[in-house]
Amino acid sequence: MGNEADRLDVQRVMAGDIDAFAGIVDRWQRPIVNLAWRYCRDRGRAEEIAQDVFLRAYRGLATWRGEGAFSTWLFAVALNVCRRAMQGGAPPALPLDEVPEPAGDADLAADLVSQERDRAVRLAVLRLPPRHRDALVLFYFLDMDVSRVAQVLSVPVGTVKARLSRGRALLRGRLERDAAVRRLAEAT
Amino acid sequence: MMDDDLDRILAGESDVQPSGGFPQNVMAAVRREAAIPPPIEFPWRRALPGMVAAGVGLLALIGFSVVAAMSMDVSLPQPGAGRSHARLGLFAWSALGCLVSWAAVRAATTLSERR
Repeated sequence: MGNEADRLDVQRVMAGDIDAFAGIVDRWQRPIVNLAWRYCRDRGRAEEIAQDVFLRAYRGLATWRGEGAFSTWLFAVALNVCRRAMQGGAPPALPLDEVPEPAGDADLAADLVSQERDRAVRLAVLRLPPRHRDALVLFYFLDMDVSRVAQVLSVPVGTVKARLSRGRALLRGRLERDAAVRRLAEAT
Repeated sequence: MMDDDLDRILAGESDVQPSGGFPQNVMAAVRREAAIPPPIEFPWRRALPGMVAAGVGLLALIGFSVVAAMSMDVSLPQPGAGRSHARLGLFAWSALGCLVSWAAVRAATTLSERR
């Protein structure tokens, strides 16, 4: 997406034309805000984090050597900012107003159960160890392919595949354990 | 839960849209950032000679201390003997300390006046 446009905008910003940075913001605001939102699940907080990402990118533009895609570098910056923002905080809970409304013609109860399960799965991703969480977030939530995830995380493709596989296994294990605990609580 | 279910659930979430004013807020923050003057760099060119001199001096002092310790006479001194020699040594060290302090103050003053 617009690698040449990114390159030109970066050159203009480095030459002193600050307004050229607006092009970068326009092109990447949506994926960066989405990345931040996947970590914190709060729209206001996600925009704050995304703004911090763009500021850090602006400050560090000179460190982008232009070898790879600008977006890969930007996502690496964004991931660092998101990790730091989430350090020490409890995994977020999904507010009720973020839960999509069930379809009108579908069975309401089944829809609610399904939504609750989906929500639990997505939030469980954030409780995974960071290396597995980051791979899953980029792969699933930002719809990146494995090689792109590998570039952003600066690890080999095989490592990403292993982290995705292990992450899914951990996720499945945790969900099954949570379900067992819930069943036990309901039975007593 | 099967992998297919996980894939479907994780990949099936819709995106959020940034608010309308988000790009303007970011650019305002970027302009504020650009208006801040860059931090003053540490004056390595000016500081380096002093740091090298201090390092050499420290090494010389350590070397001198080691040599002095090795050649030290550990036998008990005779009463009255060598007292004037010790005084001379004490005076020499005090003079050297004063000289180094004066040189450091002088160098710092000169450098700050040049700026």
